[in-house]
Amino acid sequence: MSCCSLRTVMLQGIVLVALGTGLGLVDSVLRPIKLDRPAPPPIPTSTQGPATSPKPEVPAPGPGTSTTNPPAQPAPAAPKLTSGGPDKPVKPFDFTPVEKLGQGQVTVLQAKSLFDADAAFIDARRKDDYETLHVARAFRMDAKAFLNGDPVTLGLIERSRTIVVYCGGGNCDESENVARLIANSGYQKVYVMKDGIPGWEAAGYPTETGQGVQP
Amino acid sequence: MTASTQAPALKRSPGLLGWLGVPIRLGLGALFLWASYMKIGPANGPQVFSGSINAYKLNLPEHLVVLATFGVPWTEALVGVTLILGVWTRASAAVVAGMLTMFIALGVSALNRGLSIKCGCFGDRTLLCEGGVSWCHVSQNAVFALLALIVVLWPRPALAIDRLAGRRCAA
Repeated sequence: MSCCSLRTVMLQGIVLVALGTGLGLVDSVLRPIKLDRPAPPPIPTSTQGPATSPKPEVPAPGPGTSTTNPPAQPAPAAPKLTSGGPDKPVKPFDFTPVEKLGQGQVTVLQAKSLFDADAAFIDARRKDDYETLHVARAFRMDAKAFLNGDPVTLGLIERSRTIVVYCGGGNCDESENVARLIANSGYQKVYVMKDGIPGWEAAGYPTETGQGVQP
Repeated sequence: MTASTQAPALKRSPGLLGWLGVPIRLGLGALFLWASYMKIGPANGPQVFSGSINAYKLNLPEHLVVLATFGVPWTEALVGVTLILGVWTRASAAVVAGMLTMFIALGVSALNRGLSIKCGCFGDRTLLCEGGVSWCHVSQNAVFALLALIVVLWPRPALAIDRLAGRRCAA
């Protein structure tokens, strides 16, 4: 006689899932979370750059809506690179492990100041995403291409030049992977634009479509 | 007198698979307990995990994101405990197998859509597969799911409270 029928197992499984979900609901009340998207930085008054392409719809960085939005901050007249405070300079990307990630990250506003200073922008996304929209004059390079021995593109950038790497924003970590590889190649001034192309586009900064250019 | 009128559980050996299921249960139970702790144990754990869920770009309504953010880790914790203790062993293993199947589907979906995202399986930590979601993660989960299926399919787990309680399902 076979024991523990399938129906019994299923019922017990449903009870377990229901209990787990119930515990989760209680926890969600005790520890509410905010499902917010990164707020786009304010458009600075001195925005300049090459002609922009017609802007497509702003891609949503992810589901969920903002329950709270940080208050908009006024754009400084001469933006400085800061990290966590007005007087602390942003450290270029170093070899910190993932748990300590956060160093070398710049906001969109800070990245724009680097853009105006002729930094090289690298798009770490897939080819079709890049061709749909990318930061003006950025070129594409993902981690796989680099690991497969494709340093040609990177070789066209002087080692003294500042590099800003970005991808799709949100939880996208491809930019961090590529930035780490670039830093390992001896480039000293490597930054990651954490809000990615969604933040850049939302700020109204220069963008392009198509296959892009080489520096 | 039929087998249903007495409790033969203690008299019938678990068999090889029953004993093989012990390290599998303990391993999977501990794994799921650790995974749930990494997701909701830290103070900002739920917030970080909700970001991981959003990264899969499933376009879920906000309330479902919240439900998944808390429901998944707590279910993981619950089945982790029941697996280790051997309570409702087969059902616990079935839930584990079901969750792993869901994680596999999410991973495959993310890979097909070219998303370069962190797994979020163990918070910011990794187990065997480094980096973002990859076929390594999918394979890892597939192996765990197969191990869970062994526990689901074998009716006589060894060293389980189910057996000590003399339940018919452990017989």
